[in-house]
Amino acid sequence: MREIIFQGTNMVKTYGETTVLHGISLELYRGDFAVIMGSSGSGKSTFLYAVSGMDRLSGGQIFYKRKSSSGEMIDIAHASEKELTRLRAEDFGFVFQRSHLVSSLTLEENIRMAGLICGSMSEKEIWEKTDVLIRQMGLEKAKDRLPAQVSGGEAQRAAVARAVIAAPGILFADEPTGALNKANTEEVLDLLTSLYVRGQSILLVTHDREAALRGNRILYLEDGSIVGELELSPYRGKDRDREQKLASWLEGFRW
Amino acid sequence: MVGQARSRVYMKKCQMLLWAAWRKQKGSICGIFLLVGVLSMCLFSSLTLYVSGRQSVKAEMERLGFGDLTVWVNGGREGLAGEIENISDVERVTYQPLIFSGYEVNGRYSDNEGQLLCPDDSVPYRFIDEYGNELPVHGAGTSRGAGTEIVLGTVYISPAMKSAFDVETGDAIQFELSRKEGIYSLTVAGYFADGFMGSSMIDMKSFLVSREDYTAMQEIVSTAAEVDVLGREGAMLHIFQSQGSPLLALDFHKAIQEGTNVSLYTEFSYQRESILNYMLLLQDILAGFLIAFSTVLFLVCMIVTGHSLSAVVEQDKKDMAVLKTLGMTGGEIRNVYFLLYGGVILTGMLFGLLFAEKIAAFLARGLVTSTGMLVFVKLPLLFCFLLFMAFVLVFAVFMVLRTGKILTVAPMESIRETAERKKVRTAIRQRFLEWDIALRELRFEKKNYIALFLIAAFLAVFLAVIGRMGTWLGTNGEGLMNAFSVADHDLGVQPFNRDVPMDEIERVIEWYSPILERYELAMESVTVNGQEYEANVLNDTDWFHILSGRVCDGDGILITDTVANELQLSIGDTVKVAANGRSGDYRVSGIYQCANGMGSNIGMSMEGYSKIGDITGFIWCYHYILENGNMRDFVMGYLQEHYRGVDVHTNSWSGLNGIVFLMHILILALYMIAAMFILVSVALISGKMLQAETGNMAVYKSMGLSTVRLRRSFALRFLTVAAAGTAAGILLSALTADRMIGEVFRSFGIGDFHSGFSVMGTFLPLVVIPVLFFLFAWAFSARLKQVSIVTLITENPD
Repeated sequence: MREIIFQGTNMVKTYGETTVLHGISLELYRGDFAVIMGSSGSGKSTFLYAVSGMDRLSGGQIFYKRKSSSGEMIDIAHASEKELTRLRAEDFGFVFQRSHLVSSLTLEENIRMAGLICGSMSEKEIWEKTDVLIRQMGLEKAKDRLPAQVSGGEAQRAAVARAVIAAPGILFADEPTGALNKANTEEVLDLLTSLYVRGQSILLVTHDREAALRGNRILYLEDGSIVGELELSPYRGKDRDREQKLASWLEGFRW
Repeated sequence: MVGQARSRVYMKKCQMLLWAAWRKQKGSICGIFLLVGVLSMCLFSSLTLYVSGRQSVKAEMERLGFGDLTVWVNGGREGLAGEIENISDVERVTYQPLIFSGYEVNGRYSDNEGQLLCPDDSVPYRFIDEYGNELPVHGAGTSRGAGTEIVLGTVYISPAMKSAFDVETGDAIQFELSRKEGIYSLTVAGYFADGFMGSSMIDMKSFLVSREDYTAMQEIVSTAAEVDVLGREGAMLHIFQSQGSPLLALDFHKAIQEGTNVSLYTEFSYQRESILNYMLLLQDILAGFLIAFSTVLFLVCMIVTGHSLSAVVEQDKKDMAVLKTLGMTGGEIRNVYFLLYGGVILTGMLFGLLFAEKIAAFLARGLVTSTGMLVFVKLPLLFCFLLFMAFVLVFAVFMVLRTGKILTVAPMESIRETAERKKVRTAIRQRFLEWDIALRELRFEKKNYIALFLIAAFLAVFLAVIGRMGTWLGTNGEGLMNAFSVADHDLGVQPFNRDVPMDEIERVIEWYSPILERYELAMESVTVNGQEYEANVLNDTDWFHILSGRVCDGDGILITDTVANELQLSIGDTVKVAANGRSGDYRVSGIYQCANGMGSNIGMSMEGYSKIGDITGFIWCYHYILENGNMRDFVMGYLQEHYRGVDVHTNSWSGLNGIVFLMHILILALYMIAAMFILVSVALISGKMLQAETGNMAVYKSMGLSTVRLRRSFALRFLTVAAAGTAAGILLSALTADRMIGEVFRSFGIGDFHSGFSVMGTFLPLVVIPVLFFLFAWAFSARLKQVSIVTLITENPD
């Protein structure tokens, strides 16, 4: 029996008279690498804002089960700003299309800062974990540089490290490779995959087929509704069958 | 045709860009407008007050018939006028009779005599209501000053008496003309502008009475027995120098003294310039202080405008680069910023100018009870125009320098954002996370905070100066009391006979407050080079307020600026001082400051005076400095009630309360304007910073840092910089303030300024400025609540 971490019921989002999400209901499971795909204007970013508490729903509910031992459920759609801040510090990790690192902090400090804000670890633990992440992300040479002084790939890897230092319950990734070249894209996707392999729950929004291949559960959004869902076996490197399966599934949506 | 079309296109382009810039920067523009507006109001109103005051007092003195020299004589000496007119350098002399009389108001005896005048049509006095407004002239073509219009039994007084004696319309004033049935009571009907004795700086006051009352009083004085008579007749002789006369003021004075018998009957005499300077002393101090404050505001305006321009140029660099790729030149883009910022500065200056006259009029009305004069406020157009142009020029040069960067914006460089940043290392700890983030941002973007530092430092210097002035001024105006008297003291006791038990009196004083210092002063009449003056003789000359030179010994004297000007003397000159038929040569050892007799006095040591005068009589007044100076009025009251044959006085003078009140109000107003400047400066600077840091703030939020913690961290930066700036300002003021204020005061004839440490001058700015910076930054950072993590997602919501 898989553990549900997100449970959305009849999620509706309207902007003025335009309805962007049309009563979506779905469940996300702990340990999933879920990928949201869809064409421009399908509502995938709005969906991400809603589940991550960046934006309020116009209707419906969305519950999140915290990673803490008590495992309390929080209604994100109606959570207070204080509760959402706590979730961001302890339970949610974000990776955006651009790295969005704090410009005045070095890469190492950016990573460490997230641990300090989280507040659930001692400084010693944060320092040690930062060192481990820097090694894992291959940032040893760049760690003392400012974001403006490193490559896009290095910055994005630092952003991933920052997002996971507090061991979040879920990692939200919004087009994390959208601004990267091919080599850097591969590096970041490999990183996400390795996190997934180690049990990290991930919700990725993308329209990149290569990125989508890393997931084990693909959801397709069209006009604010989930119109398709595909289960894939976990990613273990290049696999023609998986690629074929995804391609033919996407063809169904004229992708 | 092509040229016209190009120009139209250019105008259209500018118009669009201007509109766009206004939409984006309207907050900053409004803030700068407010700052420049307040600066302009402060500056032009103080300039207006200064110039109008001079013009008004001059014009009023001319209107009231004051000559180049005015001599007050005793007795009915109408013949003297003809005698003086015979001197070739004299154009004419007018004679204005008066009665000198002591008086009592609301149970308080005046220390000095008043002069009773009966106005006729030749002297057109102006009448004022209790709010300082001129009353309309009654009857076509005539002045209310006509004697027939002052009702029998009433008296018009200087508004300065209002603050000196709390006199209101309807109160009675008792004039003491004779010991036997010679108390003449008149009811106060209103106030009038007194061109000479109106100022609360001058103890003797003028009173306007009706023809009938004047005649009745004259009758009492002339018929009273010699032993009973208290009042006496006198006159003002207004002497006008002929236009072709080559004589300097001093020589003109000498020529009159030597060529006539006027010196035999002279009570005192003053040159026009001396009267003018004394009438304007308080107003000049006020105007000078406001001008100094305006200079600080000007600097703050420049800093804020400079910071704002730099921040805007930095933020708009990408747009500028895009415009350049479209073919606009750097000069064209710069013109847009020039028009926008130049326009707002000009508008702000004009806006302030519009109100300057009204503010100056308001201040002038507030000063009426201190100066006793109506100031007819009118914008000095030429001065204002010149100053306006000077400011425009300075701002223009400043803007050229600040916007120079626009010319060098390289299109692709800016679009790609390849600028290299220098990293800084500061500890970031969990326990002090907000503080550490604040410190990192401070060090990382330190040039952004230079403006804040400078504003805090300038305001701290100025507030410290104000605070020091407040301390010097004291709750009851002790600073002014001491500055204008011979020497500092809280209490003076002069026994007139051997029966006065001075030991017992000192025990009484000690019962109220311990005596810290004690010295003796005698005030005796002397002549210096033939001119009559009062000599202030001290047994301890260190108490004199020296402006320049050294204190006098047995062979020297001190002179005031007034005496130096009147007798054309300087330090090192030798003068002949005479008293009681004996005389001696003395060297002028220094210039000292004492306002007694409008500065017509000299200072001598006891040893020096003993060569020409008798120092054994009851001429000595014992001066005391008390540990608790606030007890002075209680001690005086007690001693006056319980001891006879003794004169007890404090260091205060009539009208001081009015000045002190006005100065305290001014200090409060300056504090408030400074707070307003901090508010606007923080609004502008924090606005620009928050705009530039929206991304970082959103990132912090995405990491789980709450808005409250972010705001606290943001405000902490302001607190830190303001604290550093204030500390620097306080340090600077500690080193220079006393000297600075001292110099300013010295130019107004107030010497020996010293303030030392004070809560208001040191502690208050040190705490209040950083706290205000923190609170305002905290308030303005409320917009961080609106910063959404969504801004980090580059795609539009779909």
